[in-house]
Amino acid sequence: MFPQTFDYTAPTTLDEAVKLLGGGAKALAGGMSLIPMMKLRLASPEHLVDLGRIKELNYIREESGALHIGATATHYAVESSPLVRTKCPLLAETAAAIGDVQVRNMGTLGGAVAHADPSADYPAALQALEAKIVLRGAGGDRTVSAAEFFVDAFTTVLNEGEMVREVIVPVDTSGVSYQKVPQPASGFAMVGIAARVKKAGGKVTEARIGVTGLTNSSFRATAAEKALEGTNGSAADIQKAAALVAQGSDANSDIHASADYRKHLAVVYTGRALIAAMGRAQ
Amino acid sequence: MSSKKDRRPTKRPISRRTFLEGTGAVLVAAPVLQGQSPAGSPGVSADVSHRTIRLTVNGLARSIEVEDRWTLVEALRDHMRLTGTKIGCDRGECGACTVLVDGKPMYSCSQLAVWMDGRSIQTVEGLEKSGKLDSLQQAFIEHDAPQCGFCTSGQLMSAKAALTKNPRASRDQLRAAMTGNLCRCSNYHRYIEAASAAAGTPTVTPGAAFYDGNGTPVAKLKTVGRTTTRIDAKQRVTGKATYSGDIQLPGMLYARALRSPHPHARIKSIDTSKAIALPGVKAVITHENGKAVWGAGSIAGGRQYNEEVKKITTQKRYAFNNPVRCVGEPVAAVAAVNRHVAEEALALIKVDYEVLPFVMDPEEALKPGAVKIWPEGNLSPDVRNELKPITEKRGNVEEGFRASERIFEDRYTTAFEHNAQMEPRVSLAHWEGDKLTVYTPTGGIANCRNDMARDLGIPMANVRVVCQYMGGNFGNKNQNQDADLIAAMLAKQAGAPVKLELSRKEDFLGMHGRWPTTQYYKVGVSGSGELRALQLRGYSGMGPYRKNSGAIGGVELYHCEHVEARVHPVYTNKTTSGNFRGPEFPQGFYGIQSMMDDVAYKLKTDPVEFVRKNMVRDGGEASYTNYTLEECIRRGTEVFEWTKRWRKDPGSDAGPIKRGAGVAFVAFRAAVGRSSAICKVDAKGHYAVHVGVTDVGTGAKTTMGLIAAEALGVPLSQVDVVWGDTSSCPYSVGESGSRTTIMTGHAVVEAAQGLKKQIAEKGMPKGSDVWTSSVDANPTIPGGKVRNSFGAHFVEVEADTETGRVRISKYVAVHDSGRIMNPLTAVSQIRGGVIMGIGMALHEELRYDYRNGQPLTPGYYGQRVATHMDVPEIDVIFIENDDGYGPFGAKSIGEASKLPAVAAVANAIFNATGRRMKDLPIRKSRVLDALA
Ligand SMILES: Cc1cc2nc3c(=O)[nH]c(=O)nc-3n(C[C@H](O)[C@H](O)[C@H](O)COP(=O)(O)OP(=O)(O)OC[C@H]3O[C@@H](n4cnc5c(N)ncnc54)[C@H](O)[C@@H]3O)c2cc1C
Ligand code: FES
Ligand code: FES
Repeated sequence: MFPQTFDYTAPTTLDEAVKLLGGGAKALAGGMSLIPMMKLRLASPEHLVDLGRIKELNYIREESGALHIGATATHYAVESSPLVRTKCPLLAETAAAIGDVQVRNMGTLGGAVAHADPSADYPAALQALEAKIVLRGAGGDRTVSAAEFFVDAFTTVLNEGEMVREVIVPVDTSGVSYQKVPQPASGFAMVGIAARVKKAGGKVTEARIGVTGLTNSSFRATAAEKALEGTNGSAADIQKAAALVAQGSDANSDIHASADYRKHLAVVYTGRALIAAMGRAQ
Repeated sequence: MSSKKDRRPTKRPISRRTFLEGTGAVLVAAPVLQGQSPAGSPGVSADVSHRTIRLTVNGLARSIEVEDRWTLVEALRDHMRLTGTKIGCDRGECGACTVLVDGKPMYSCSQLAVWMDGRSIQTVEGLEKSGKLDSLQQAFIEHDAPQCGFCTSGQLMSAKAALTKNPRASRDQLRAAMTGNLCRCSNYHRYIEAASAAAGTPTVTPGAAFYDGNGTPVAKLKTVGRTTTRIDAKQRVTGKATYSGDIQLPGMLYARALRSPHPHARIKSIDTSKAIALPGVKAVITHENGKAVWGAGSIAGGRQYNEEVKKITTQKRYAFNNPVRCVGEPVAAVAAVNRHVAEEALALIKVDYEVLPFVMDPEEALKPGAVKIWPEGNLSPDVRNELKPITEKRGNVEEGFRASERIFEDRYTTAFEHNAQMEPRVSLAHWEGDKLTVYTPTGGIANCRNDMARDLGIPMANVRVVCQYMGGNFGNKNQNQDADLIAAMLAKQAGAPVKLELSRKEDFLGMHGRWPTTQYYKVGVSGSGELRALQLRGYSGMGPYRKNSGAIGGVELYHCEHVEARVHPVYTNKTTSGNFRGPEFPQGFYGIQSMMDDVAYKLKTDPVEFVRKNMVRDGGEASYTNYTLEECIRRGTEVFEWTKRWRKDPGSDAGPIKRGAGVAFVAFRAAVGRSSAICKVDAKGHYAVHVGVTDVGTGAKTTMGLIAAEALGVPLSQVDVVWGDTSSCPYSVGESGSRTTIMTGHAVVEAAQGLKKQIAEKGMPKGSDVWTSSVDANPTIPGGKVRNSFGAHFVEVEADTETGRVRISKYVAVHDSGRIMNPLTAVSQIRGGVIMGIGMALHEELRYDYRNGQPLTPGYYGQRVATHMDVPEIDVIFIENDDGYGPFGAKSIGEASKLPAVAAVANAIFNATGRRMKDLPIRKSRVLDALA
């Protein structure tokens, strides 16, 4: 199949892009998800707005204790940025775990976030980091938390005509780890766990666990986090906490993994991510 | 469009499931091409939005007009005629289309061409600088990186980018950098070896070790047996090798096929009027006006198609069938001025179906009252067109069971596994008067030609079949395809050459893969663990047509007085099954060697000892031209360190990672037989050998050259190999059954000897004279001896009991393939076969939803073919010998390497976990369930 015919515009300013999106056009970022969907006619936009030429969308910078990453920063840019690697290693580690080199060279943070594939990697890290996502629409910017942003499979709080402008993550000093069970051919996460742990005086003072792949939408495993906080973070504490990760979740079932298998993997990989994160926590 | 108050989430009308199932759905090899195509087919259509972009391609600034909807690969291949970049999936899965954009590797199938405005692109064609190969290309040649070569450009570009970024990249870094590039030939080791050699940090990989079989050293020869890079390797690493899909003819039209969405349906009517009326459409055919029997597509007994078989086969398959009997069967086809128009026309065809009930499982299909796919029922007729199972009997099993002390019974199942060769099917048909030329990926140009003539009812002399390069075979390509017939019929109707292209999904569904089986075994043994009786009742799912045998191999591996095997090839409404690397063996070997392994443990015997005691032996069921099974096993246990790795008590490791070892063996035909060759010499002392091979990736061209050079007593550089075109090559047996080297190679020896005799009698030719020696050889082995290749595989696995993941931690493959013609390509063949075997054991399957008859995984990702990251080290050992037959003692390799791998892996998993895995593939979740 081939894409239906469409109009194509490559604006160089954000304002122009927003105007076109407001007029019903669809954003094109890395195209890694959109172009195949267009070939399959799962998407048949009449007008594509290529975000790739908008310089003001492509940046990674530090501002008042947080990293601001523009929507068109590629996975590769995030993975290889010295700033992200040192100041928010969880995000760099997650970016490096996405798909393969060709995908990381094209795919963008904004595209991945907006696409909201339930098996995408970034959402796990963004949940664990309590990231903020800045959206731009005709009326200007609004900022939502990662927890609010992801609604359902391929569904976010983005309104028609609105776009992802940037993602804000904290400068992070916790011990972190991203562990995933990739669908071995595509790399998509059958289950992906992003863990952050802070310790003080031999106790876990803060634990954050972001989960992707398990259910239709990424989430923070707050019960498991709570179970870990205040403990010594021993292997037994970790196992106890990990066991809670999939509790009550409406796990996805598909040809790659049944719901039960996904839940089981989530528990095992939460354990593994927490052990690794704990090892890195000060 | 949206107000700030409107905070409703934007629902997307797709689920992840639809997206995944859609992936690879009816995607086509990239659209349009025009560039230098003839007048009348402009680059861009005026009515489609388009623009001029400026970009740099391989260092050259260019300005080209592109349609907005074109992908980059389409612009490159069709408009700029840079066909070195390939399309394997057209949807970001395989990496065949990888090019560098501003130095970074990207999938050109998933980028719009317009996006390239102002950017710089490098393709495989840009690696060579002023006629000098890049050092990476050189390394690819020296390390035998390309087998079929279809993935090679992509691998090169990914490796190039990785090495530019880090010239000293480690093997692991290279693997990670290249993991987006699939290789179905599974030559992953070679790609990494080549790239790390270019990085200047080659680490030693276990290559091959050679031992002389039976204590008799094999005398070294001059040319044969020397490590030789492929004679066509340069074409394969520069993008110059011309595959069928790369060919463009003046005035050529593009064709697409409409396929059945139903597993079983009667076509009540087809309305093509709107499609015909669409401007640009030149021909439309359906079962009504495109009638041709596809003989090779349905054969009584499923053996080689010929005049005899044609006469007795009553269940005929047509290019278009009514009723349609599986999802993906062609229903109509359209030829048009470009692919976009052809696609649009398909959407205008209205088919009125009467949907029929369907049946997916072979055992279900034999039950009384099951849906009948053919009026005669669902048991497929045998070679005599009688409704009987394939039966093999020796002795009297009942007697054998009575004489047994213990009897064991079990059931094993295997999955449908698609060949998934990297090059999607394509066929370009061109009529000149009543003469037809077909450019098509076939490993059997001669058989394809015969089939086309027979099916179209024209003299064989009027058909020419050409295949110079082919992107992988693995079976089912030693005959014509329905695509060839459809292209030929469209071309006839349109009065112009027609190229019919299949998308990746169509290739999966319209073509053929390994038949799934259900195997029931009953085994009787004596008190001392000797086989007394062996019984197999098997069911093979053939899909709706009997394309190939449907047999289940394996009982012949054992020495046993009383044997009975009854295998039922059964029709189902899945896509048609067919030959795939060792057609009936990997699945049968898995079943029977799992069964026997299990018996060994139940008798508290070391499985290696059990194999030794019960395997076929010389002078038992047969006498062999030579017999090295014993030696293969002895050498393997030693190198593998069996006693150290094998757990006497299965599953006894503490975990969570448990280790264990498994063994399986192979005896596989290496029979001699009929093929032809022509050898020529001219006055300048240039020799040529004409052989009807394509070289599907095995290195056959090079092997033929080596054999000719050896037989003629001249260096390889003095011999031209002429291949892949029925107009210049004699009949050849075709590349299937691992017999090209043996049969066509033998013909080459005879032809060379004939030529030498002429030279001895007449001297060398003078002036414009050319001496020609043409041979149709048909050697036999006296005394009824059987000629086999042998081998044994030893595997160690690590099973993660928390996740079910199985990792191969040690692999030793020992093979007697007679004398090795070219160690370089022989090792590549073995490793490729092993990797495919591991894939079949652990993850490959074309899955179906039995509730609606729909395929779930028709694509690379779905079927889950192996990637760079899946590949373990594989030690290859050859037990070399020369039994005096075949060319210089060569025996079979290509298939033998895959056959025992599946069973060996499964047996190792048992040893590691204590759980017998009775269903393929042994997915992680199955391992975990078994451990629960
Ligand atoms: C072979 C393959 C393997 C992959 N493996 C993985 C993996 O392992 N893990 C993983 O997480 N992902 C994986 N992906 C997905 C990949 O990360 C994609 O890049 C990503 O999902 C989409 O990003 P994109 O920039 O390509 O977006 P596009 O494809 O260009 O767009 C995707 C969607 O988002 C919209 N969009 C894009 N940008 C914006 C924006 N700024 N604001 C609003 N809407 C926007 C588009 O309109 C479209 O609907 C894989 C993809 C492929 C093809
Ligand atoms: S053809 Fe582009 S990735 Fe397969
Ligand atoms: S060489 Fe890689 S697919 Fe054939």
